[in-house]
Amino acid sequence: MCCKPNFFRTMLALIAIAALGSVLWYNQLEDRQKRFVKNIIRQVPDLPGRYAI
Amino acid sequence: MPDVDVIVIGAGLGGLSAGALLAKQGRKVLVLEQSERIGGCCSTFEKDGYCFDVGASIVEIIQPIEKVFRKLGTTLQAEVDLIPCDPIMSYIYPDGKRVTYPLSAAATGEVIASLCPEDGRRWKDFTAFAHDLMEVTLDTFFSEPASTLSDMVRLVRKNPRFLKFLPVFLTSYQDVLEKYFKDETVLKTMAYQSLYFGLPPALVPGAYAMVPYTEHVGLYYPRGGMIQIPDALLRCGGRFGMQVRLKARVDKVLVRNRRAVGVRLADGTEISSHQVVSNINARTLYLDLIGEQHLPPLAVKGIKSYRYSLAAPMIYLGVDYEPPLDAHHSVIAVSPDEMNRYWWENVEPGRLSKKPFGLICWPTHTDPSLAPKGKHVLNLIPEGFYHLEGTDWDTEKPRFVERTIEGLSRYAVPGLKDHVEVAECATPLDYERRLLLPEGAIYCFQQDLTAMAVLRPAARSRSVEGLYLVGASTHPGGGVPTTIASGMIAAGLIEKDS
Repeated sequence: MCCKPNFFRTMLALIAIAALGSVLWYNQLEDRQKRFVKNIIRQVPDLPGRYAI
Repeated sequence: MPDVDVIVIGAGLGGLSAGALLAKQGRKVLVLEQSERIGGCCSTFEKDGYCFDVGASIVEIIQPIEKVFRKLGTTLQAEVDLIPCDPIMSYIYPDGKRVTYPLSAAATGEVIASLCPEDGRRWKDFTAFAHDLMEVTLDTFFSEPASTLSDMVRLVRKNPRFLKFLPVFLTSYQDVLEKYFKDETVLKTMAYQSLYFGLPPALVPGAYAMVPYTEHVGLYYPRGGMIQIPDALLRCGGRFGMQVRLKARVDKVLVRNRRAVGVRLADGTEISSHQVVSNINARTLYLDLIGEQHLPPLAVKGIKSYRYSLAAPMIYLGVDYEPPLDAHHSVIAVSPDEMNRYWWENVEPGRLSKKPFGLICWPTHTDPSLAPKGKHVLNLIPEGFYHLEGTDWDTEKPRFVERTIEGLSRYAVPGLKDHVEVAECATPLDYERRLLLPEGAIYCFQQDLTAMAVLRPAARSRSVEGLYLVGASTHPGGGVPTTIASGMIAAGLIEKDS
């Protein structure tokens, strides 16, 4: 019973670190590198549909 | 009992390659082509004694093509007289300077070293990387389906070395080049090739940065024009009974219970078959020829999500002098950043560039038989795109041709404007009308990371049984060797499925 809250807290902490790390990494990119990343992220919602064709 | 075993829609390289291989398998194959000639973008037409290539201007990475002809019981060299091109490319700078790369990678390294000794040293590292990547992809992506995640796992298992290149797919073409080269003059000799994938260097996946090297593995021109390649496939297919009908436009793919059972032509004729192979743009296929009502909603969403690739106008010139050029292909040298700026400031808003830009193909440098004696052919691929801001291609066409010739005459091809005997132009709108390429998209869809391999319309349709795709719409993508390889992949899938 005591492990479940610890597990979720740990997961949340890891997700927060990953998110912060991603933001820091993205901010240090050059403008054109940001466009490369944005071009991919923009299309992520389309990927399940593309895999269905 | 179906009328034929397989119907192939479109006699482009992918359709002819698939049709010929399927006929060799003993199937009754009927290829239906809407225009009056075969080859699609890889074709040649004649005017006033000059022969002009419609679109494709060169052949490289011939290994997949050789594989197809071997499967047809012959060899590429027996069917097509390929003339090696050397030098492979000449780069023309605004100050009139030219840098010309020979076929030999080692000799090219010396040219690069003369521009920048450090980059000359790095050229060796770059060629080692690109050679390794090329070998891995030839062994896997160019010859095998990549329609499902299990296909991808199988490809990696076949050649685990592929895994070391995964990071390259997650970076851009420009990032890869700039990892190796620092000098602007050198970088200007490698940026243009990103447009072969329909995107600027900042957006093309880094794996394609091997192209500036793969050109050194071999660049060829078929004697008699690019039509020789589809003609060879037609001839080989004919040996096994493949039939081709021209001016036979397919209006509908007939689907019953989510299975392709034949086609209906524009004149109302219906032809039934066991399988249908499509060599047309996948969006046109699924949305127009099949219809949303036959597709799962997720598939409809998916097919609508793709962006069309870059279009490219072509200007075909017959000239009465020997143009002052140094190679079969010349390119106006641009840096990766200039290419990116061009994309964001010109292509995306639809504003034509006023500066000379693009590829100059001089096929009579390699094959003089394409023009009357003493005269020459130039096929210009200046940059352009389908959507123009505030105007359209029919209006712009005459000005565009004049401006391009005038611009190139200034420093790239001196004297050009005074020596033009024949001038024709195919705009993206013309490509759309004549070849049924939506928005004139020569590579069908943009070839970025999210539209590659499993994320490109599958070679074996996932939403319609008995339907297979070939050509630029599907894996491995646009280009002469890749569309021919797609035919081989589809034929292999049909054989397996049967």
